[in-house]
Amino acid sequence: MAKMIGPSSENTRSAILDLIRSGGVVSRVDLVETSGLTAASITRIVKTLMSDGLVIETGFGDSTGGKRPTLLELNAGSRYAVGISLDDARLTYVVTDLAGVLVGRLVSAGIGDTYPPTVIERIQAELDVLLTQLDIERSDVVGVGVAGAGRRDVSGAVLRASLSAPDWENFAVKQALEAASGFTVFLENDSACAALGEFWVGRIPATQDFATLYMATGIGCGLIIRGSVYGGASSNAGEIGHMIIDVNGPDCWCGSRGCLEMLAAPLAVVQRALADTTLATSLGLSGQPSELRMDFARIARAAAQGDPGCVALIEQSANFLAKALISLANLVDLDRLYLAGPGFADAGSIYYRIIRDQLDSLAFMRSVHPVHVELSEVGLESAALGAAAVALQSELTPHHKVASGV
Amino acid sequence: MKDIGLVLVQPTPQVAHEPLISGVEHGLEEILIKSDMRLVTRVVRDSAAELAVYRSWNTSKAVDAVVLVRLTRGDRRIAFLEKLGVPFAAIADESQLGDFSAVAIDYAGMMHALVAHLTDRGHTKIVFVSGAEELSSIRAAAFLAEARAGGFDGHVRKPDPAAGGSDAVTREILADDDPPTAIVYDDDLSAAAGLVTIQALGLSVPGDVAVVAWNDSVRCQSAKPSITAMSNEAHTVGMLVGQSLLETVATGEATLLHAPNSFIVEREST
Ligand SMILES: [Zn+2]
Repeated sequence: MAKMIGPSSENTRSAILDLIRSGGVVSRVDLVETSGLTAASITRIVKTLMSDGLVIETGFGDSTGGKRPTLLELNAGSRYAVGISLDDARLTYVVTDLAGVLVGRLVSAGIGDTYPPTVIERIQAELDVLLTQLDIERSDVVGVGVAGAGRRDVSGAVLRASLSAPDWENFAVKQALEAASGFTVFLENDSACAALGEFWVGRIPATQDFATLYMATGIGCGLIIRGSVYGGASSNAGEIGHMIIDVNGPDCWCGSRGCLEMLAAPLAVVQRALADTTLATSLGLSGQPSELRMDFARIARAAAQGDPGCVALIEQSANFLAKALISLANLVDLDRLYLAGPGFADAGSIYYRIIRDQLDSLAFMRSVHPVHVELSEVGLESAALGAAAVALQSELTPHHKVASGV
Repeated sequence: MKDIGLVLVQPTPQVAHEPLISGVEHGLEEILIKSDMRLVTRVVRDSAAELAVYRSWNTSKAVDAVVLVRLTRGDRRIAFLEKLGVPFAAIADESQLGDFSAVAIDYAGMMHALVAHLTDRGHTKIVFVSGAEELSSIRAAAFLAEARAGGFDGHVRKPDPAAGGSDAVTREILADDDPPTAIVYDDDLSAAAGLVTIQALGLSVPGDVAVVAWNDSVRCQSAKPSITAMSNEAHTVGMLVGQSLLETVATGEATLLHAPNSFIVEREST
């Protein structure tokens, strides 16, 4: 890392904490070298971090002539962050330690078409239940990150419309949950969270740009540029679900027609499966809007086990996604892409194969560099883990501030 | 009844759960959510910490029943939970059943199907690369029983994670004067790593060596060549565990359910 931390920066403390976090085990001398600060400043900052219990001394390093340096590391178990994925099909809560390592999770019924204030009341109660179940004190929680689908208004605080949960339009999630729970709440788009989750768990260097395609009920895309979420004018970048794939295609709820979401998302796949009554009966599809995601999972699991009709349906969906991703890769000269979210939980390998093959053979820059595709290892939990990362980052390392208005 | 608990022992910090555990969790959640119930998973570092969690849950009443995974022979958790009076259901091999609620998996039957897949293709010398957990030794024993009954030359090798793991053990196996023509790996990760090692040695899969993974995952499906594996029934097992728990609590009696047998998903590596 370049020497870029000025001693006058008010975020110096958090920057040093982040250097310790990303370095694993470091000495004060290492910190002087990587930060460009004076030894006296580092000593002073480390002292405050240690008195807050955020950093501990773990032993001695190798001597390079003088006395052996004391090693420092993040006191991972000293504080916790909560991440919540507000999803139609299931509410997922994860709790991570300071290092982003999972210490527990709770899953309960999804938000479905429940009235938002009722959901907030339930979340507040479930947060208390979860902390009791994990034996964690409220005072050790730095904040609660919330990942949800939809648009944010100009203040950045309101998570707005989605097809599946129209009541959430104009409902102030952050304010309502803060008032109910007493925790500091951070709100971020679910696809951006999924992307941040990949970044935060340390699999990707901060210098690398990448995109995460996130599929749950809808489809979104988180773009990480130089370690931060790219937000655009209103923190709403990444709506790849409304990229127009077929100008004469079916009408979309957004006002356009032929959007990716109308062609490739779980609803489109389930509708095609329902049109084949033999297939729908043999899979036991319900066709109820409230069971949409379960119906999709049934199709995806049958496809993963080789059912030809289901394989064809998933391949068709994957083909549309691949076309959108070729356009995205061409537009921003992407060389790294992750597939994440519950939409890939069961038939991820089919999506992976088709998207990889098409990017290999059709991306415009393929003769210059390949586009590396991976299925996210954090899979279903990626949005919730990313939301926890947003809380950790915003609270502990604000110099890395996420690009949104939170 | 509202909250079902699952404690996972992970000696080293991990970002996410392994695919088999995730599959069980998601199947279980599907059943619980329908009954307006919840699943809490808690990660601990060792088995002493696991017992401490059960004690804490029993005191706080924050969890109403628990799921036991990775059963061992004479598992002390069973007596511990019975003494506390915490209802539970276990995922167990047919050989591990007792007077408690369980979803039974027939590892011996599954191993029979796996071995038949290989012997039908003319393999007469097969090595099983086992894993660290105790359930793996049940599978290893089933493999050796198949070798005795089926008359093929079967060996079990246990990789040492400290000495190069799957890669090193694969090299050792293939350095033999009379190397096997098929290797069965106990998990998807080792199989994918072993495949890379075999290819690095200049051998072809399946031409020189066939590769099979015990549990299927995206890794097997996206490897080049794709890896033949036993189908992943984790989601179904999870749903059955949910049913078993609901019945146990409703009737007060131990409920035994049988998981469907995995089948061979034939791919390019055999
Ligand atoms: Zn649209």
